[in-house]
Amino acid sequence: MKKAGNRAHRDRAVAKGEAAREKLTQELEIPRAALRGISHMELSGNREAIVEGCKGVVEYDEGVIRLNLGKNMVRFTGTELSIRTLTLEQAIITGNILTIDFSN
Amino acid sequence: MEGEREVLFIYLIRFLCGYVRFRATGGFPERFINLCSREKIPLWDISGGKEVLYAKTTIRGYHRLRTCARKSGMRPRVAERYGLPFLLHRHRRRLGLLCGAVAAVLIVGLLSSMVWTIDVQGNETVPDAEILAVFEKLGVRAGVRRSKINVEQVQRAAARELNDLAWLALNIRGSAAVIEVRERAPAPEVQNDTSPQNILAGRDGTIVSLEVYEGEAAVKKGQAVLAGDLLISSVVTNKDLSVSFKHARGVAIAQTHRVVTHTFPFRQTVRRYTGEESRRYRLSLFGLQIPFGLGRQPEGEKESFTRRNTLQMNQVPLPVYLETYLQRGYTQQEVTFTKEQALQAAAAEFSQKVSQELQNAKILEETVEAHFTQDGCVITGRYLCEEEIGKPEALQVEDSTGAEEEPE
Repeated sequence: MKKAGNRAHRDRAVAKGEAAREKLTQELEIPRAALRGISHMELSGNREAIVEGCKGVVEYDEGVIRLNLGKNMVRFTGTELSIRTLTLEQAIITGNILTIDFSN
Repeated sequence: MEGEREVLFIYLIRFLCGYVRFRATGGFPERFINLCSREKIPLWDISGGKEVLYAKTTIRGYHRLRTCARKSGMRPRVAERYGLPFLLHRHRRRLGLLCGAVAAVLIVGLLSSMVWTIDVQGNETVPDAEILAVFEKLGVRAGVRRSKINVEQVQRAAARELNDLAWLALNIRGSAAVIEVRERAPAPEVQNDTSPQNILAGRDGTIVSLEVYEGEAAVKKGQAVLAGDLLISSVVTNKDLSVSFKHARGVAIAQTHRVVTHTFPFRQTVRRYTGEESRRYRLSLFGLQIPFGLGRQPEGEKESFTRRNTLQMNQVPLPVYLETYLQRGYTQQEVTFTKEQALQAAAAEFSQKVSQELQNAKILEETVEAHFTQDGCVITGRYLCEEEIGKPEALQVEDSTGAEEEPE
């Protein structure tokens, strides 16, 4: 009972902090990615996707690549997909990207 | 551009350090990739699928792969090797290649420590050759070592020698030296406005306009004048009826009649090339002059030409050029022109003469006639022009006061 109370208290604190950060980014008119620690994605047509804030590879195949972004996941489907570069924070996906899905 | 440079730099580093492309089979490729990422083993160009995974990594990275491969159940095998370490290893027994590479590095290092091209910029009246000669005397010449040139000292010494230059700078960028100069602007001529002078008519004509800046007008618009007539007088009568002498200035435009005649003789002396030619060459390689080609020189009169072909790379002249000295023999021959030929040549020479003689005049009307005499073709042009006819002439003023000799 006490544990559940602590969790609720923590969730409320996280939500409060999130709201404060959101407000700050809106007030200062700075990109959200700068403060909130969310991932950043850049597409060059459907041939290349640069994903920053990538925490790991969840699924890898020629037709599907699923990346862990921390809070959610992104799934690229297409043909001849490959990972051109993979570092601790960044992944570059190349190939013929057909769809991009997000999931929790 | 910045990104492209970065990518090129990464490729260069990878080539210099060497890298391998491997294939990994079995196990869990996702886990393998994540483990490598966590262990900071660089992986790139990851392709393939669940069955076979292809990727590239550094030599050091490949050695560190084993733990990640074991944990993910993958079996990596080298597919291809790239880069300088493998290249050197493959050719390690070829001593000549190694010596060649070392010699190339040494030669490039040695040559790039020298000045090979000298360019002069910013001069208009002072010729390049004069500036280059002074700098050569001071030790700045093609083939000299950069470290031997004391730029400050050379600049000071050159500035002392080249008095026509207001400023100069010697900039050495790599193997190219650029001498930047600014020429001294000549001091404007100060006119001695105090000496009295008249403006006279330089030729016959009818005055079209007269602008008097100083002095007194002696003629009116529309008046006909003869050469030598007074146009603007230096003698000015003041209000108190006293007289003062001025330096008369002004512009007198008049309509004039001009005649230009040109005669082209039928018999002329022209050059006939004998066909005898001699070519000599001189190859300059990094300052080393190699002459070759021993052609027999043509006898009698000859004209000479020199041509220099400089080797260029990306429009940058290199210190390699070929100079060709051409000597061509000729004889002077008397030739008789036909009437048509003479007329054609005379017309060309006549138009040149007209443009030279009437360069400051505006031609209003012209009549050109040509006729043949016994000796040649004569072209006569009569022109009605508008031109400035004023000609300044100093006024001789004799001072009578104190000139008388006192009796002893």
